[in-house]
Amino acid sequence: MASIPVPPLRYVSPENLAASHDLPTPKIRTDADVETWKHTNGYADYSLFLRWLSEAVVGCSLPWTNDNQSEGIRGVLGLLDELDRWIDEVPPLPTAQRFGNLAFRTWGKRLEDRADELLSAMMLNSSVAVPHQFGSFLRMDYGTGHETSFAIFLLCLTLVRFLRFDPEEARDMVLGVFVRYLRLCWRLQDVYRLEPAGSHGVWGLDDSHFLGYIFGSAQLREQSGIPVSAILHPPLPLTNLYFLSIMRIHEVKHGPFHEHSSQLYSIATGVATWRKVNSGLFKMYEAEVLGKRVVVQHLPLGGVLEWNDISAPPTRSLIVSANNIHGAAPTPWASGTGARSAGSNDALMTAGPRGYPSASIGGGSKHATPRLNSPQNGP
Amino acid sequence: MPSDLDSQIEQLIQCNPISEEQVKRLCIKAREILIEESNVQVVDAPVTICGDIHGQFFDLMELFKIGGTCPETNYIFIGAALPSPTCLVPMNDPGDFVDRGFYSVETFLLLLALKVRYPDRITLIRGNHESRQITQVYGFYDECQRKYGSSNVWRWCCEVFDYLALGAIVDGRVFCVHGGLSPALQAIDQIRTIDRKQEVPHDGAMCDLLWSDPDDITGWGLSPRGAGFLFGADITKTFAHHNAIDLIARAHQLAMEGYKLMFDQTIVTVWSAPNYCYRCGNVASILELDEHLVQEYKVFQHAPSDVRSVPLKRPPADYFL
Repeated sequence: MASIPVPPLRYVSPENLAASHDLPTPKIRTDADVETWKHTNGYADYSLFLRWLSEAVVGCSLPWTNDNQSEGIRGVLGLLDELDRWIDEVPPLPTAQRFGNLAFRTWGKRLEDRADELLSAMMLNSSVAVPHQFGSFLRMDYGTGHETSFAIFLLCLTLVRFLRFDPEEARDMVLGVFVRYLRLCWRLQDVYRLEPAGSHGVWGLDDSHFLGYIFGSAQLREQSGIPVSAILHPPLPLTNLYFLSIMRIHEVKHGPFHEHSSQLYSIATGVATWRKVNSGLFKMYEAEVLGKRVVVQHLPLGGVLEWNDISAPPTRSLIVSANNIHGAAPTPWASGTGARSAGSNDALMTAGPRGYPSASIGGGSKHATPRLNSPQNGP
Repeated sequence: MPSDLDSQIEQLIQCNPISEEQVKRLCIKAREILIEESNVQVVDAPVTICGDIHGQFFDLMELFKIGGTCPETNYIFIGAALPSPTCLVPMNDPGDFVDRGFYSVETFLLLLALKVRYPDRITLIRGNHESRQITQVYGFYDECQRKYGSSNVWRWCCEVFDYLALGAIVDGRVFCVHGGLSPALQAIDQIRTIDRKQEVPHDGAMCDLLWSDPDDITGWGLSPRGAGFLFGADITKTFAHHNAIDLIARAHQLAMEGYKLMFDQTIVTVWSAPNYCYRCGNVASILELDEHLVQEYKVFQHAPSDVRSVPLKRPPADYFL
């Protein structure tokens, strides 16, 4: 009843990683490129990864503690702590800027300069586009594209098994690492007055974030004690990422909730179950974030996140068409509305790593792979 | 039409959208009026200059409360009355704030109805948000879809955008423009030669007028917005001198105090959207110029929440069906 089985995530071996020295770069320029992206292994992997994370936290509550965090999780948390300390070391300038404090560029420059060093401390030797995860240093804004970059970063770490592919690790990623990431981003947004990067204003879900709502609705999906409409009555207990995100809105926005957060209001008053909320948010994320050129055009793609045309049938993109590794898995965006076949999803989710045929990655492949060192705590 | 129009204005002042058919006729009529206007409208003082509204309908009502109603007060709105996202420019969309307003449709249609009813008492100048590309990617398109169930209203409004003036000049001494200056323009007269009836281009003089910002630099600089330029005090003063103007009044940037004078008072940013995006905590202002062009800035706060509309129950987006 709880979560839905998710097929295993591709494994990128050290040998394949070593085969290429190319770094991920922004690859999306046109609307057609967005369509191309949707037919890449990287896109399929990302879809699967989000679904996997989401399923892992069904029924779990915040605050989350785990005394047995993996080395990988501790490494990423350490990285985020370090970046947070930099905010203290790079205070905002006293100048009255219209938006965005120029000190954010100093913070960003430090990140760009030290990204390799930080990653090498984690036994990774590529920047894996770390700087793009915390906002645009040029425009001094932050939005769902940056959040997506961070999730893709976690995906890459999981593909190479720097982070383990098992449900416990997934829970640590969402309820530990992602929550830590949100708090860092919120602090960056507040201290440096970062603008929302380009939301639909009151017609978007949230000015800056999206994934917290997906994970939070997954946490709440299988219970019935807390109705969807509960969010209309703050203050809310910070027991899940959905409530956490709503309370963040109340912190920064003032005015009628139904005006400044009209989508969340409509969901609260018009969607009956958390299951529907969760599946709807997946569809909305795919259409409004991943499907919008202006959002994804800045995403560094390629590298571990393979940029290859897998020539999928357009109507059944994503994992369905990836190849026989991903098999006949359902498209994650549409799932979550009905329980699938029984079986131990934990068993499925902990299935050992399997690689794509070596020709598709590294080796003779033209596709870029970032320079990542061998994962030290691989499978 | 006046009596019909008056009742539409009455309805819009209550924040109730008019019918799709009424919007269509209003837009046709507005285009007939706007097409006769020049790129730089000539306006006589006294006049009240307003900056960005961004679909904050109830705050626009506050504005009329302190500035007086139209036609009693003569108004210039320098852009982005509309919804508006900020700015996204193709390829390199840098951000400005994004579409915020919840009532962009009502706001724009009310200003347009006033324009049609009192063409000589209100001047609407195009802002960077009044563009197909931006409104489509961001909120205004979504809002029209949500409120009218089709994109017709959005399409008709976009056709009106193309006819909006690019600037105004008050008594030959105060130049009003949404964004700022352009390296392609030395004289205000050069603006008159632009063929403005088009979507906002990605570069060139017309684009710069709607996108540029003054900045503490010397000369011209690249704009982080990805469109338009940054221009310094030297550029501003030279332009003012060559064109024999006292002041450039522009909008386009949030000013926490409602307005911001720069460069020895040769340029001012007027911002008329209080607590922008429900989160900025800023006050707003309008600039009143009396018959001698003496400036008075009237500052106002966002509307108290009890004057706002009651929440309408709208069905959630299709994703949740």
